[in-house]
Amino acid sequence: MNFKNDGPARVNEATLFALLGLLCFAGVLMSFLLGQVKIPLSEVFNFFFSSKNMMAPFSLYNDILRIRLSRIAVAFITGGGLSLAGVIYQSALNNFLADPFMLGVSAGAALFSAIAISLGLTSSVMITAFAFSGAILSVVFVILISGFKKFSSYNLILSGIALNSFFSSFLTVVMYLSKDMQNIFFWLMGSLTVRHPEQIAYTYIIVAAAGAFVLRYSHMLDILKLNEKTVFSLGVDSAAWKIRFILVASVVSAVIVSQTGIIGFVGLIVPHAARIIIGDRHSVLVPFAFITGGTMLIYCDLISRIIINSMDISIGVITSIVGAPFFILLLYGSKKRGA
Amino acid sequence: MDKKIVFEARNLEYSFEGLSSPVLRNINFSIYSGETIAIVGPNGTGKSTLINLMLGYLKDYRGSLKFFDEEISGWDAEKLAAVRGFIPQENEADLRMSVIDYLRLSKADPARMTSAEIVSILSGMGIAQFADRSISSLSGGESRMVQLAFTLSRKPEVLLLDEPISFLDVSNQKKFFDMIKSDSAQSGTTVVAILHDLNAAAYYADRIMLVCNGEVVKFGTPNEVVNYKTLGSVFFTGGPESPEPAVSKNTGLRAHVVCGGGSGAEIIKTLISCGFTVTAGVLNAGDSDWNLCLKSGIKMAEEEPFKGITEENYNKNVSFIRESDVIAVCEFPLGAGNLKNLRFIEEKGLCDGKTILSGLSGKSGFDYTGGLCAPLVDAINERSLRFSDSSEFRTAIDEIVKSRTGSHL
Repeated sequence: MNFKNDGPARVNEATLFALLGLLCFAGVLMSFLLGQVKIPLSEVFNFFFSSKNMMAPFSLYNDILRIRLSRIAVAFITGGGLSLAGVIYQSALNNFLADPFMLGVSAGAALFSAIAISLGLTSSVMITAFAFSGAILSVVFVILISGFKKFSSYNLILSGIALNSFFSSFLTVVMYLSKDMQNIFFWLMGSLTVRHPEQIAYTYIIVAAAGAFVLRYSHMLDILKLNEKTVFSLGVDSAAWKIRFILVASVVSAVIVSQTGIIGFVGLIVPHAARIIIGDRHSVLVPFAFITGGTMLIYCDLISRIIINSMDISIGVITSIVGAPFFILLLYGSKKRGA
Repeated sequence: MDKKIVFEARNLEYSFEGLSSPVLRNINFSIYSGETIAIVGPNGTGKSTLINLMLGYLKDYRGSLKFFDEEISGWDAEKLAAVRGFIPQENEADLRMSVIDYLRLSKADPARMTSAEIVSILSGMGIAQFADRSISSLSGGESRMVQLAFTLSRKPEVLLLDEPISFLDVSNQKKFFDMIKSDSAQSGTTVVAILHDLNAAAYYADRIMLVCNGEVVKFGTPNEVVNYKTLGSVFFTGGPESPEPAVSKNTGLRAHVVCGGGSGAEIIKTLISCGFTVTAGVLNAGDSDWNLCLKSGIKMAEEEPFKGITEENYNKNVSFIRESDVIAVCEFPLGAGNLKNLRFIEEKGLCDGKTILSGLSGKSGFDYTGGLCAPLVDAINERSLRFSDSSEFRTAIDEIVKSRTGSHL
């Protein structure tokens, strides 16, 4: 236990947000400029500010920029959404190892999308629809199983683990039987290429709605982190609030997983990093973790495009390679401060 | 003015699922508004279960437990929250959140307190300096005071505490309970607390409920409950006996041990194993050294907690000292209540020809008398052999045995 840690309470939150915003902006800008094709700043400027002007000169860069814009938008909402879901899961379940995929979201999505692919329903809309249904179904299933006796975070997590491994085994069977194993495997690796702009828009709308709900009731997330009997003594129905938050986080994770496949690590590590930096108060932590996650994925995507130079190597691999050392440094730093 | 009944238990019984014998049975009591009640008793006797029932946290009990005239199982959590507050045994140690933000959560609804209100609550308790500190940076005692502020800011009519002071040192225990007492005096709060420390229970509570093996053995004023007859019967029925120390041949030497709070255990065992006949005192009933002496059949001068040492028991102690060859003074917390234990040094001729062994360091950590004990500590140390741990004590005792009996062990 560290009693001497001065804690983040005194750190100026506004400064941290400003720094994060700057970092995010720089990431977005670099993502437009850099890649296999380097695009001059003026063209990026034109793309945004002259495109509505019918007299604007036709630019060869515009198509590339449109693709990059879409990737940036997807990277940001994916990283942000998964981090948002991670914060909610960790606080609502009061478990530091909880992540957006703990309650079967990923397993359900993976199994159902694999089924869709092996049935020959390979359009991205179909796969997305199947994956989303699978994800939501598993979470509802997990909540129901764990609620059979007495609802508790402990039961919920155990049920999630059981369902995860059950669905994963089924997935192996489906992949084995399917003729289209490569396609399934490719989906499982996760990718930031989303073909339909409407899908991106829907994701933003859903994540925004979830974010608004969480911000409105952020003090409930604060309270759920307190001692269980203290929470009871405040008259808060912790089980009902846990289920509400878990459902919201699950919808967010399901929407994201259904479009990008499984991108691990972000939803587990970013919330922890954000807590270390800005503290446990959710009205601040939630937006901070959201932007941190979004920014992190933008940089990971950038790195994959510049260094690895192959557009669709699993983004999940990059997030781990880039994120893990950074996180260990942060953890080490905070422990040292606490000593 | 007749007082309202806050809690009323009639034939209350509770069993955990799957266990055949009930943890609580045949519980009957009434607690009135404005009272401060301490629940005491050995570990695992159902104290926590009882407080969880009174909290409304456990529901499926048998018999009746009424809270303000209504079965507590019929109260919903929100209604309960409006009238009663609770402090758990554990601190919120890992919360990375400022004290102000933490206190804001005490009102679970969105219409929360302003920072100014919170700061005024904190300064009312004399802890405004913590306002901007992170919860995780507070010490155990500070954290407890902040939890108390959290709970009192809800202005509960009834306050339930589950071993609130177990991890606090004596001065923080006092601060904590003084705050509760002053709140209770101002607003008439009813307080029910599980306490491990019998001295604190006797000192702070109006009435003490002694729970043993799932039953209320005794419920009355501190004088009625905290005496060595009652406590002895509860704490030592069927409990595991501590192994008797190996005794070597009796040297015929006598030693008197001045100790308290567990400081005497090693010393007493060493003396017995070296063949001494040991006496001790003056010890408070319920104190862990008192437990040891009671179990081991060591003669002692004893006193009921927080009465201060009476002349009668002081004289009994002096007579023990008079008969002994060696006086061992252990390092133990000195307060106004037990300061008298050091006065033997001022008795004319009492210590002549005796060897005094002193473990007193004179460090302020053991001084709760505000410096009053310093002259006595100095006087004792001046004519003592000093020891700082049990192995040094053992060496000194071996020397004494050698010189006094002409043999060594």
